Amino acid sequence: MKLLIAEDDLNIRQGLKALLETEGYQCIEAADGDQAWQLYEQQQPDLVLLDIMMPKQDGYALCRRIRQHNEQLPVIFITAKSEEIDQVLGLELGADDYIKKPFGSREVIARIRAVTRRCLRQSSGQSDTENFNMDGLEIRPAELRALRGDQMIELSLRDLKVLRLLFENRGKVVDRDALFNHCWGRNYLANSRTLDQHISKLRKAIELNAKEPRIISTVHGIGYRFDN
Amino acid sequence: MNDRHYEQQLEEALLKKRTPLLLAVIILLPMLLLAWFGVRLQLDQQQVATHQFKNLVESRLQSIDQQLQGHFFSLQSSFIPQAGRLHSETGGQYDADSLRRFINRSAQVQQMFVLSAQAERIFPPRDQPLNRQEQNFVELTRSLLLTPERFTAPTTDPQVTPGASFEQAVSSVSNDELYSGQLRSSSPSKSRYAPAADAVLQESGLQESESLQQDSPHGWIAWYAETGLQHIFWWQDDAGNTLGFSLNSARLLSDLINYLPDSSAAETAYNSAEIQLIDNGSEVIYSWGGYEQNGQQKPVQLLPLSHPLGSWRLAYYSATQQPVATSWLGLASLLLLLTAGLSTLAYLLYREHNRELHLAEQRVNFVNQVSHELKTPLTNVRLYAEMLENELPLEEEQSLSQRYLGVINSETQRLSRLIDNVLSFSRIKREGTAIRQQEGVVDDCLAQIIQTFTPAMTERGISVRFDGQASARCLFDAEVLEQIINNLLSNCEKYAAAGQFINICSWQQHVAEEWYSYIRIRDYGPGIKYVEAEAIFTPFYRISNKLTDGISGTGIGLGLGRDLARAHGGDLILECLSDKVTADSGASFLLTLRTPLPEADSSPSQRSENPL
Repeated sequence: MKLLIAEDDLNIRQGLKALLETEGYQCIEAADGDQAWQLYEQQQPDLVLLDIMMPKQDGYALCRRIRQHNEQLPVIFITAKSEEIDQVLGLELGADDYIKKPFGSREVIARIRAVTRRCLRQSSGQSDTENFNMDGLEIRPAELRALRGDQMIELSLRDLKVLRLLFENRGKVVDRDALFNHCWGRNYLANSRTLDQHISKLRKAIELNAKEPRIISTVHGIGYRFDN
Repeated sequence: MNDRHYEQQLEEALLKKRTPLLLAVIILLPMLLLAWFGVRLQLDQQQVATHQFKNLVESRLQSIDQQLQGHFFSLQSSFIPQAGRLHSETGGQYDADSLRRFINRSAQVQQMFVLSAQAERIFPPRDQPLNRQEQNFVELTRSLLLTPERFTAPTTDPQVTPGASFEQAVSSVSNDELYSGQLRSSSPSKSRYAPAADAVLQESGLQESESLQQDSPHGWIAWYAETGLQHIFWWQDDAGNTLGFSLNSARLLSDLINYLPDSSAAETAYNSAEIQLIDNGSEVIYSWGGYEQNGQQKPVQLLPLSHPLGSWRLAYYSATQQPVATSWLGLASLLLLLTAGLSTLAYLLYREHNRELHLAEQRVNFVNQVSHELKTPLTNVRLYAEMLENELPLEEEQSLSQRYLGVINSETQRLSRLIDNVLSFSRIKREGTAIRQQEGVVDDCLAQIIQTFTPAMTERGISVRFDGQASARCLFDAEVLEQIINNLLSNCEKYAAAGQFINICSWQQHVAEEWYSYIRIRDYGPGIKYVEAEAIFTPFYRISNKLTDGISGTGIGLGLGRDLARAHGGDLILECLSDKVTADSGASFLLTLRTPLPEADSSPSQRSENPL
């Protein structure tokens, strides 16, 4: 999924980018309203994060333009002032949600995930949104969740990509490069620890015993494997 | 929400206009009062001035009248002895020659007649031929001589007509052309009902030397003949003969005019006035004075002259009274100056007031601005601290780095809450609170908040027990709830750490067909004295005792909490636990919120999920 982040503060913009890329989203940045519109037209993102106070065009104007173009595109506002919230909710801008500054990473992710789920639901019927099972874990891509018994586990897009890849190649080893390219993208620059760290976290979340993983098994020197 | 905003804007606008309106009224009222008094005063003064002027004119005219009267008095005083001499010279016979001689000698007497006691004309003689003048005279005086009863001293002053002023009394024989009577007394202020002629003469100060003659009846007659106004002085001798001297009109006129000021007189008294002597035919006989009236002007005063000039009058013309206009101008300019002065002061006051308001507004704006400005750096700190946390290698125990990051996170959240408090506080003061209700579960929200506070609580050795019975889905503003609970828990953390426990319980019930949620937070700290139970909710109030020394805080948390609770259709109160407040009795706050159940058939909108 491609996200457009329109925010004039450099640190917030890049922080969000880093955060959401970890989650598995592809992020494009815009520092002002004009750039945001340009990137929107060129790149056709799946979701737009709009700061309200931006130079050149503010968030409201941009939202209206986007809405004229595409009524369905999810738009989330980043607001600093409560008056802005009133406006976001009051005016028929067609925004889906808003995030208040200062926000925590969890809030952002939660809201993005909610929107993501909606998007996935709308595009349901495709093969990559079907549920599948891995060792007693029911993975539900459309809900960004996995279910073990009655325990609900939240999964990020990337998590899903990893699991799907392993599932589709069940029984076979998926080497690190392939895993990396598929789930992070070819252009993603990261150190070698990124993949391992992520797998560690994922194991902690979904395995019964992270120290003895049954879903994601390590194949030393090569990659990872899911044994059915 | 928009309506309320509009109302508030309207109120603000009126408030802004209130001060200038008030100032305008403060200036206008006394100025109006002053103007009214000024006008009254002016009018009064004008009346007084007019009155004085009229009096002045009257006295002037009357003095002129007196002067003219004086002439008649002097004529009278010369005629009476002359008549007496005639009487004695002619032995009472009044022969024609003597009388003719007398006439010729006298400059003033044009003609004369003598009537016997039986009203027979002795002179001009009937048995002799008369010259032309005498003939004319006879003709002229025919009607006069036929009514000899005129020649009597009236018992009453013929000048007096009851109720009239300055009017000639018509003689007993009502004849408009003929007036008969005595000379008036010299002082006009005396009673009009002048006593007998004697007293009149005495007051005029005539000599008494010819008292005998004075005692004889005499009088003046003025009448209109074809040739104009004729004057006759009559005198009766002790035999009852009546002598009549007809005055030379021309001579009389010139004599009279001699009494009057020179027509080109530079007398200051008459500089701005003109006085005219007008005869019975409304012709101006003579006029004097520095002012020249145009034909249109009406006289300020008309004084009919005394007998025997009764049909003549004096007219006083004056230039329009300038002083009045200038005094009006003076008043107007004074008022204008005062108004200008007061207005300037009021304007300066208003400007000061505005400046103060502006400064106050700027201060408020500044606080708001700062708080907003803090949000961006705070966002970054929080975001990056959390991302840093994510970057840390996963380990079983809490590493030092994680602990430090934990502190950073909880402190940024504290900072965030503080900013929210300040902004909410100032917003509520300005525009009231808007509640945004969303569907959710109260207990979930509470659990979240408690979880956020847990690290800080644990740090201070407080354990939080939560018993949640408010699990129904209902409509409420999660942010408002969060803010209120944050404030309460923050207070617990600050003041009730000694109690070691905090109990939080929640429940819900129907009250009057509405669904309400209740949350009680009970701590075991030092407690709050009941006398202060209300005071603690007032802004900036902090209980001051040893406990609070050194504890930071703004004092707005509880007040804000209550305002928010009330805006949410509920309330925040301190529950009274017992009468005595001991060292560990603790405090119990009860929060009530109106949390209506969602409509059964409402379709869940995309935004109705509480994503957390």
